[in-house]
Amino acid sequence: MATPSLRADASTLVEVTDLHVEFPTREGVVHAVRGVSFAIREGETLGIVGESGSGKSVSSQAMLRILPRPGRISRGSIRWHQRLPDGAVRATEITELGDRSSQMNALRRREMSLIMQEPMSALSPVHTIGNQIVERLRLGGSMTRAEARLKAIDLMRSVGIPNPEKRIDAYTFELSGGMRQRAMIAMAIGNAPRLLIADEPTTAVDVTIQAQVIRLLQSLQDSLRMSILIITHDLGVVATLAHRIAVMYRGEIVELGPVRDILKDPRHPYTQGLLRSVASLETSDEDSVATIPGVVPHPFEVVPGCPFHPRCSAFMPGVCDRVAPERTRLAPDREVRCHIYQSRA
Amino acid sequence: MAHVESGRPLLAVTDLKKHYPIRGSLLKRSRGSVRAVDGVSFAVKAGERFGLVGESGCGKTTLGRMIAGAHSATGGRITFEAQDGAPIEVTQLRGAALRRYLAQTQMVFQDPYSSLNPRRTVMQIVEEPMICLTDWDAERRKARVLRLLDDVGLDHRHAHRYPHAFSGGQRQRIGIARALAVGPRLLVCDEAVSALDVSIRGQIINLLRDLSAKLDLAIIFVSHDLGVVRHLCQRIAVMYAGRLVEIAASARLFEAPRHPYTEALLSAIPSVDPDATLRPIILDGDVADPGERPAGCSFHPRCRYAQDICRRKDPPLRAVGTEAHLVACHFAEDLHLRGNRMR
Repeated sequence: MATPSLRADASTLVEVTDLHVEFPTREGVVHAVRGVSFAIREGETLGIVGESGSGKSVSSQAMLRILPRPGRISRGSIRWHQRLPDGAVRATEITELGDRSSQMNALRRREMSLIMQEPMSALSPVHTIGNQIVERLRLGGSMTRAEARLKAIDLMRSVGIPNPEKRIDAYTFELSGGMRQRAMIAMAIGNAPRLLIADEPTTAVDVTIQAQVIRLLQSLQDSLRMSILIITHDLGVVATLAHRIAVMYRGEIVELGPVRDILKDPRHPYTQGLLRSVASLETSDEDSVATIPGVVPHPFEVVPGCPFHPRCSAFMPGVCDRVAPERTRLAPDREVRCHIYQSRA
Repeated sequence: MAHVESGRPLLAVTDLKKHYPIRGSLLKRSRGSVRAVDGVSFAVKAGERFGLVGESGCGKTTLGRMIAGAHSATGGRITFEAQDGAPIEVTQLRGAALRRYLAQTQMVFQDPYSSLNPRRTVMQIVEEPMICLTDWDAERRKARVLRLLDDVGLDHRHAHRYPHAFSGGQRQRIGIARALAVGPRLLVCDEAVSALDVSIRGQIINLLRDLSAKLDLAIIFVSHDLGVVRHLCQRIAVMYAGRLVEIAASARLFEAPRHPYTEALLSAIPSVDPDATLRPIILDGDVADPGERPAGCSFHPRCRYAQDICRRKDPPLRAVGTEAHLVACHFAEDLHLRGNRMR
């Protein structure tokens, strides 16, 4: 139910609190997201970083209410702050809406957009690019087909597709990977969303195209003043694009804070290990690459205590393998979930 | 394991070509060709780790597969130094001779999920190449599987498990054990770590490096990831639209690239150092279509240094500065390109 709220922090666009997502299957329940809390402010880019199976994509799917079956939100809150024309802010509790409710559809149509990793499978192969963008635009409001077509050409130009008057009638297979990714971005920003969720937007494209896409997202954010949630495994992409980072491991945010602080001074042993291994790839070419030992545990496996303890270099027996660490606030804008800091606090 | 005389390459590729005809729907007439690999030459020494980098569609995978004997060539030669010192012409091989070559050259694939048969145990998967390519008896094969699993860092007690019981990194170790089963002297790794998580990637790179040193194993490592290639390989070749545009020792290529495409590739790697001040050079447009290659230098439509000659004349790959640094650019001596120095 939408409830007007005056207490909401005006600069917060969406606030996720203690989110839990689970997938009940025949073999057992997979707890994909376990108690995740973060907020996205207006005009900021939040990067969620994590390895496969860390729950980073599932968190964003929960926000959009497009969880694949049999996934469900089992606990927690996702509060969306909608700015009304008169300047007031209305808070909507997304977890209370139906997946296909008209309110959720309206949010997805006007407020949030998604770009996905593989444009080839996200776009229709039997419709032209133009038709797909026009369709998306017309969902938003009362545009005629002709108006929408003109707007689509504008959008394609704004994302850097050369010769948009001609390309608008092309099919996806006639475009290169970089152009497809641009077409998908054009579609996603068509209704000037307030939050653009980009799930691994550069993973399937080449490095020179990746540089183009990153620059495009930066300039779109400046011109449209939208917030971006970028989900990626690539710390380099996040370092370039994000203002703040949330590092996820096994369904939990283990560290959260401003991008510069975390990259310069990571506190969680997992973040430290990740950065060490990436940095050693970037710098030395003589020594062996720094690694994190072990493997990410299987989703069904129950790890007592801290989920990272079997791979952790700072493992404290009797503590880390028994008790789950709480969130510890290190600075007003920074938190970490690790016993090292908890015992000190 | 026999060492090749110093100076003589284990593998020499000469003017290698792979052209695929483009057929129109009408009467299946040929309408030109996609030149996936178009006149590539290089050599790899025994035990050397050689990187092949480039963007999707540049032909690096096709080239790797031709070397591994999986694709035939349209033109040119691949010469492999056999253990007895006699050269093998790889492009001509059929039947038993091809199998003898495959026992010396094996492949590791990108996707550790689709490249292992889910209905066979690790023992069966790793044993398979020995059944196909050697006359070793079952006892010897089984003993070797167990030793290989130890070599690649897997618990040999897990030999009778199926692939689904293993994580991505462990599966890639199984793929490596399978490739090593027949004792090859050359391993072609096609994006072998690209599908793995960041924290696992380093483990596999270290494993490949250690195995290469221990077994005097040459590795051709095909990848789009320059950081990984720099770490693993002693020399790197950069490929663009079916051709090699630069070959140099890894450190030299990173610090003093001589081809504008290499410069742009290096600058485009996003750094995790928030103080990194290098701005990426954004290349306009897309990778050249090997079916419709531009006249002159293939890279000229995206090159910010392009001059008139670049539109007319295709630059050959030639030594610049030292014999070991090869560049295909008209202005290789004149340009002062930006490298990616150690941070």
